[in-house]
Amino acid sequence: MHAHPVDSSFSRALLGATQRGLARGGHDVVTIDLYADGFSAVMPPDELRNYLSPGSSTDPLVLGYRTAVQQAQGLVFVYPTWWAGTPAILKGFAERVLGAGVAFEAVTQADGSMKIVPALSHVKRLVGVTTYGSSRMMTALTNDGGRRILMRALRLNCGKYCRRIWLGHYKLEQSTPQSRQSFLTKVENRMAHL
Amino acid sequence: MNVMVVSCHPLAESFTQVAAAKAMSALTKAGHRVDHLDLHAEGFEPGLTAVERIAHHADVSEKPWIADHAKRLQSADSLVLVYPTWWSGQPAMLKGWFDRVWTTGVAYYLPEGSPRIRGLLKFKSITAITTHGSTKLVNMIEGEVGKRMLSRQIRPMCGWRCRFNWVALYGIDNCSDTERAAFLARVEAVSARL
Repeated sequence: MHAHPVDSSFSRALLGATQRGLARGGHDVVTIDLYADGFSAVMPPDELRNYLSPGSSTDPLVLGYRTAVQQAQGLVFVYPTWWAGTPAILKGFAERVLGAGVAFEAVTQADGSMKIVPALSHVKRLVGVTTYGSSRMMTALTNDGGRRILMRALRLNCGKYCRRIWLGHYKLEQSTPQSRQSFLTKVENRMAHL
Repeated sequence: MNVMVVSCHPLAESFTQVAAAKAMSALTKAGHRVDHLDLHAEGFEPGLTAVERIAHHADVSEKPWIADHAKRLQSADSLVLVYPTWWSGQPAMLKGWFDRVWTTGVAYYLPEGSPRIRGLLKFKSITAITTHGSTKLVNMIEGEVGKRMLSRQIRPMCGWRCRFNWVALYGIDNCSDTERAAFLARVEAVSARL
């Protein structure tokens, strides 16, 4: 999953490094480029009304994404960190695509209460590749919202043996061509050995 | 006092909208002027576009697409946000509002040679009124993304005297009418003494 609007961005280069690394590791890669696909992050009223039924969405893009997620053994997110979180379009992906029947099942129990049961047990790797404007310490102090959502909230819906990998380039405003190049190499090499 | 209320829910009949109406009536009764922004009703587009990303650091006058929201934000004395918590954070719609509107020149500026941004807004308080499907415990495990983004990332941009009020209902999936009523009473009380 990739979320950056500008084609010449560093985030796009990171997507390229991710794809190259994964191909080198012999993995089949399905790329979801949210901006390029014209994905809408806005939850439509009807989709929310039917949120807990598997057929909630009629958007072909969402249905295609759901199938791709259900067939995946690893989920990799490449995005820039904005306001201590993922870009809205990626948050919208979580809300619309990773819903009931995909990320979890909402089970009604005997006493009538509802229980959320994880449904992403087929996912063995959760990976995040991102860039930060702030330093590692500032990010830790303000809480890394994007990382928390992907590595914890989403992790709760994966299987017991799912592993998490996080790669971040901090202080992007002060970065040098060398620091960016070395991060690209690091990402590519890490992806080749998932 | 001029209070900007930003509400965010796709369904007009939702509990979030009930809470928003409750907050606004209490604010009006207390003698405040309310400026209501309903993101879904307005048809706000949360996705930051390529043009906007490139113009991100430009002067506000060069960003006519956010002029209206920026002006309303700057003339507000307090901010109230009413939204449902999805995937542990703000809905994409609201996250997108921060991504697009809270830009350089509106919410912060980067002093020459400094690695850290400084806030530009001056609020007396930021109040978040929100509902969670999951329990408080699950939210803490997930890292309280929504709460910390507002208290640690957004609040420091709004002046050192800005207070933060957190009015949250947890476990709405399985909560009783009494708990909902108690939550609405809290919404009313907090809004009345803002």
